[in-house]
Amino acid sequence: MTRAIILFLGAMATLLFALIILIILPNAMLSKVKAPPGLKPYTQEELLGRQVYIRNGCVYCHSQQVRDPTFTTDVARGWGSRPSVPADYVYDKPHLLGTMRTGPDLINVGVRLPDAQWHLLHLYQPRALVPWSIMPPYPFLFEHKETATPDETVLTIPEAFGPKSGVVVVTDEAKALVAYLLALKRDYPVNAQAPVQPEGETGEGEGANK
Amino acid sequence: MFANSISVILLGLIIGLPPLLFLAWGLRNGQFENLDETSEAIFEEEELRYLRPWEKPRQVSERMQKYGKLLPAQPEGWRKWL
Amino acid sequence: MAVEGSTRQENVVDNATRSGSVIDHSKVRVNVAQAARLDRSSRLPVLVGFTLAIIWLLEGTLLGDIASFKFDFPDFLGSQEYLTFGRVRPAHLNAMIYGWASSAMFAVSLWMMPRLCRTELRWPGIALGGIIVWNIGVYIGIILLLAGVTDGLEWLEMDNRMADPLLVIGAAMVGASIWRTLAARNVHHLYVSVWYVAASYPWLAIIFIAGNLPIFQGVESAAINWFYGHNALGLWLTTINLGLIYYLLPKIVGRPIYSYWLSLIGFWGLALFYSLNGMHHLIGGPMPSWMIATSITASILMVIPVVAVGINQHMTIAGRFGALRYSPALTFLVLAAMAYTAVSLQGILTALVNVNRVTHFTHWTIAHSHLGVYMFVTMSLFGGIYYILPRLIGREWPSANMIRAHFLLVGLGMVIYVVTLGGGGVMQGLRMLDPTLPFQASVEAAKPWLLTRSFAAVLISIGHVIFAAHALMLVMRGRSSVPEDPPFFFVRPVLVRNG
Repeated sequence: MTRAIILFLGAMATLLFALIILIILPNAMLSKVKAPPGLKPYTQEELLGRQVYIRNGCVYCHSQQVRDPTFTTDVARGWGSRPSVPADYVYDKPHLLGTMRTGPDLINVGVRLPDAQWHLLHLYQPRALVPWSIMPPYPFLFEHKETATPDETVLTIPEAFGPKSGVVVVTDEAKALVAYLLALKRDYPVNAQAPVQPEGETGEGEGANK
Repeated sequence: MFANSISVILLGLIIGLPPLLFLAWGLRNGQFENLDETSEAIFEEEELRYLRPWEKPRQVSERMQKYGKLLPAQPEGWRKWL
Repeated sequence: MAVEGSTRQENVVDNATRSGSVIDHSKVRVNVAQAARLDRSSRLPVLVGFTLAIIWLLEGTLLGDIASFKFDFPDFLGSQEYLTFGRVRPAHLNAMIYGWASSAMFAVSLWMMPRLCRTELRWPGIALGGIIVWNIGVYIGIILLLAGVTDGLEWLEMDNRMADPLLVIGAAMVGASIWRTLAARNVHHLYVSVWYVAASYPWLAIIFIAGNLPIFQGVESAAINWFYGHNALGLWLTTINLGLIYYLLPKIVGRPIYSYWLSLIGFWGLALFYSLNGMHHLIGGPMPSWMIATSITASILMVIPVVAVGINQHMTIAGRFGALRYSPALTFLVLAAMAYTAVSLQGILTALVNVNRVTHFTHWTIAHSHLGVYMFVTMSLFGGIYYILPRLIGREWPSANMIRAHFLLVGLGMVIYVVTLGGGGVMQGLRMLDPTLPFQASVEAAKPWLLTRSFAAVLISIGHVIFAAHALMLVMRGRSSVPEDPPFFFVRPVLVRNG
């Protein structure tokens, strides 16, 4: 009895792997994701900011993907005008799709919150702007000093959250991170050839902006 | 692109195909025969003959029938921890 | 089976060759002295592995506690760059998976192989060296992680230039010792645990190297990331521990596994079909339909091995649950076996689209993952340590009270963790699904359950400290002589309560 079942398992596996080698693999080798015209590569500063994002583990609380409206309510919530497609991520190395939404999705945060000052203060102390937030503060992305030199930017902080004396100066790291966040915009239209859709999608304009 | 992730496909094959070969080897090598003996190979000599205090009378007599006269628990016997 | 004189049997077992041998090895049992000799051959690497593992357990627990408290008090240690949540959280994960679990798994592999192959461990020096090299790699990786040097991929954070090569070399060294021992085996039929343990090493090497190659970007990077993550669970963490449970559970209970052929189905089903399962981490994300189809097929096929293992473990212990009161190792192993079935079925459930839309991106995922890596993997390893350490040290655990305390604290703590945080995650997810509710609602819904999780974390931490202290007591007070008493002298658990 065992031999028969083991043979059966082996046969199933052989079929499955044959399917993969003969059909799926050749198909995979033929197509490739192209960069969409609406998406520009990251600038040097944005890439530096992306590194700051990675180094401080932002991905462990924030996702970067908008799911399909037939599946869930990401679009209705205002996290994007359309679901994310593979082409949105061509310049992302490594990916930062994320698996937790302790905080909101960020793939379109540059559309939703385009104000650099908001981001700088929010990073310094999230609860200065969002009282119910449980996001950690990032004071170490800033410099606390007695007085700022003329070429430095001082962060305006509400009195309750700022230091007792001196000023808080924005570092290049913080500026870069904010530049990256503002670059997170994936609201350009993607055409009907945008390849990947979950099953069950209706016939009309796959992923196209409506 | 996910659909065209050749790497994932190749990895799936690299991980899945060798087991198929080992499976064939195992079948030829007789690994799927004498299963009862193999399942008892983990026991030490006499290990199956010790009286186990949690066993019900029916289980005890089953053990005696299969493995022979039961040996009593060693010096201070089995004791409960919980 | 009745053989006169242990010397003659010893020669027979040692000198007979595998093929063409007069004696069928499956019928010949080792005696206690031989088992002790086999244990001695792997004693040093096993002890070192367990020691380093327990140290990691404590370090990882501290990191986990800090991470948990930061949810409740977000400004806690907020100005410390090296302890920011985004670094402490992956440090906790890596310390537990690669530090605690993997070190202990190396140890149990090296302890099992000589016994299962009926021959002394080969290349024990290389095995020992491998464990040390691996651990150095993990230390470097985690220190760098706290300093902000990370590869940026979940489960693969440790730096791929300065830490990962050490991990690959270390695991390869341990794997070499395992396979060399396998090649020198004195048995014809390979017990199912041998398949599980031996296969885990090439699988770990393949997935770890592939996952860490810095050549992927975009959604392919995501595909490889979760291919690795899921397979690290199924082809490394699961397999070694199933091997351990298949060996120790029947042994302690004193009956062979209920259906040995079912256990073979379980292994081969896993080996052939498991690796295609990883796609479910990306449901809803940019995914083609053929991947969905393959993933569903693979998940359904996986029900077979999971149910096979579950039936097997249950039917072996069924009617004999009383045995748990006599053996702490068995208690931990049985709970681990049940948790494996539970977390696998829970995982298959969560892969269903209607469940996934609620639970994805929520704390439910964390609760689910702790049901797996703690209630299954960690408890299985506790069971292994409770069984194996006394045999290597030569005396029984000193204190039943400490075992009871450990068990009750971590058991209770984890049940609170999984149930409350899981429930909290569902509530978080339901609120997130409702676009009329602000995002704030989902955060507020989770807050009380994050607090209960922190409470559970404290219980678990105390349990770990007790366990570590107890292990230290055992090692410090032990003799290294190996007694001649029958094996279950050590299976017999310790001092009973007075009165």
